[in-house]
Amino acid sequence: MGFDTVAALAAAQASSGQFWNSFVYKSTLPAVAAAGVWADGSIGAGIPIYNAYLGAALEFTPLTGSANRSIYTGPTISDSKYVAMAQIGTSAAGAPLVAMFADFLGFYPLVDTDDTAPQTMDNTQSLTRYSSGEGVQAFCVVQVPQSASATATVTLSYTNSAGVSGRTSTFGLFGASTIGNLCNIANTSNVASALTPFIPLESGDKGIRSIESMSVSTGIGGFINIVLCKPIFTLQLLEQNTVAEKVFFKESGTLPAVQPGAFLQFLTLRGSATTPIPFRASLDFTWS
Amino acid sequence: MGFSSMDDLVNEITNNGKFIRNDWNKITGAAAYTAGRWFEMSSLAGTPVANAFSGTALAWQSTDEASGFGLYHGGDVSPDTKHVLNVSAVTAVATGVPAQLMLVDLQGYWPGISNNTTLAQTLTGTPTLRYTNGAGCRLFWAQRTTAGATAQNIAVSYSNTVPTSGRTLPVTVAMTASAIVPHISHSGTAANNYGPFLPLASGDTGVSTVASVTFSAANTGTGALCLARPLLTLPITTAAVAAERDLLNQLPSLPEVKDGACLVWLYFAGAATAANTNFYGAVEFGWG
Repeated sequence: MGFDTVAALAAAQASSGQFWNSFVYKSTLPAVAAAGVWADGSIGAGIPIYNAYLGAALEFTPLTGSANRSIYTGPTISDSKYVAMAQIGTSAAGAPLVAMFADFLGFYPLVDTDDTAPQTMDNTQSLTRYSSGEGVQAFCVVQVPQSASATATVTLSYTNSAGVSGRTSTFGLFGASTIGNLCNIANTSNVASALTPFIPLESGDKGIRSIESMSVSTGIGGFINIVLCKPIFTLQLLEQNTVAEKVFFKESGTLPAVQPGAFLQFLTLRGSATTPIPFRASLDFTWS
Repeated sequence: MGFSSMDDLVNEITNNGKFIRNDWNKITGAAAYTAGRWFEMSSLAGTPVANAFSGTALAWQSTDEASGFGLYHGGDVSPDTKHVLNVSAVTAVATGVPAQLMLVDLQGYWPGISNNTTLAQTLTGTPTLRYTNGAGCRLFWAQRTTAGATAQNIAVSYSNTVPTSGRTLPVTVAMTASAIVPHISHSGTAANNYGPFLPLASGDTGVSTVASVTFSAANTGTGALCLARPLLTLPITTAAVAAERDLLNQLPSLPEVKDGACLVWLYFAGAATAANTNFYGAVEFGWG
């Protein structure tokens, strides 16, 4: 349940103990080779622990949060929690930086970006949260390094949130040699400046329920994971050695919801090329 | 009680004198702190005086404003309620940032718990808490003598707010080998570290008492299990620049300070913190 009134929200935190302060500390987020490159915050040492994306090739592997596998949201409850406040910061030269927090729902591992033959995904398992796929996006994260800056065009077939299969997404890959970098480009311009967090969807679609197949026009080496996620909220950090902070009720009039079992992680967009950087975040969760 | 309007707040703290400001300072001592870990600051030298965690081993020791090592906040005000209006902190040491401070109301602690046994150590005494049935109260372990090099996990049997006894931590929680004083030694960047507070069982919103503590392996060292209610957090981003927070305009607003509250700081090291790093600041309270 959510909150009917501001008083209920205040009481949850002030008198009912229905809150949890959670802290993220990553000593090394993945390096990025250029400005505008997104990176997967789940890959990196620290708390939450390194996410190795273990799974069988091309099989959809659901992700469920437990303990320190993802951002710990406090005692388990059967209903959603809400993010009351979030804060991010880095002491390294990684700013400006955008951090997009998302519920990583699952992934297709070991998709070969050096193989031009169509690769058919195994959807024996399906989404366990946001099961219709509405609002669910996909990104491609490097699992085995590719040829840096090599480009290819991807044709991906997916089922949208209305359950219509055979939908097509055509986008570019921009090869990255660093594990944890995102390599999808929203269009087929094949330039680094067009890197985006998520692959484009076919006109009118609201999300992805599953992916059926993928093929690349040219082999660029390496392997990727295709991750399905539900974006939750975004913060922008403008300067090194400052914090970006958001009190959601006050500043946006809403509280981002986090479903039970969420595998809460984050993506970052760096404003400049950086070596691996430390990153910290603080999230206050509340529930009714 | 509390403040019915901005006019009422201004009237209470100006015309009625229901306001106090208290400055504090702490210095970390001879040991350097590791990044990504939490430390309790009440035992550090400075003002207020250091908390020696006195008491009989394994026996509950209540703490309050009169204990002396908590920030003085002007005594009891009931039937008025007291609130934190503004808070600030600064360090002159470059390695003292980035950092996060958390102000907690320390309800008390069980001192003299040994790390050096795998037997369940039965804790005695019945906590008298300032929060009904411990709503919102959290547990943390303050290392009191340096731990040995043996890895160990901590298990706790506690009562929740119902109160239901026999509640246990929902995950494996690792202590830090060779943890120094005053490390909250289950916090850090190891896979099973949690900080600053021990995670609670599913559905729990607080802790009312603890029956026992058990370690998975014997290690040298002793510590105190502390029960505290978090009140606010304050990020410090830049050396020699004051971190300030106006708690009238941020959520959760105006954290209440109960009569008798024992206010102490917890410290999160966002970077390796050099020995003898100083922190100082002020807290402003108003009541009505």
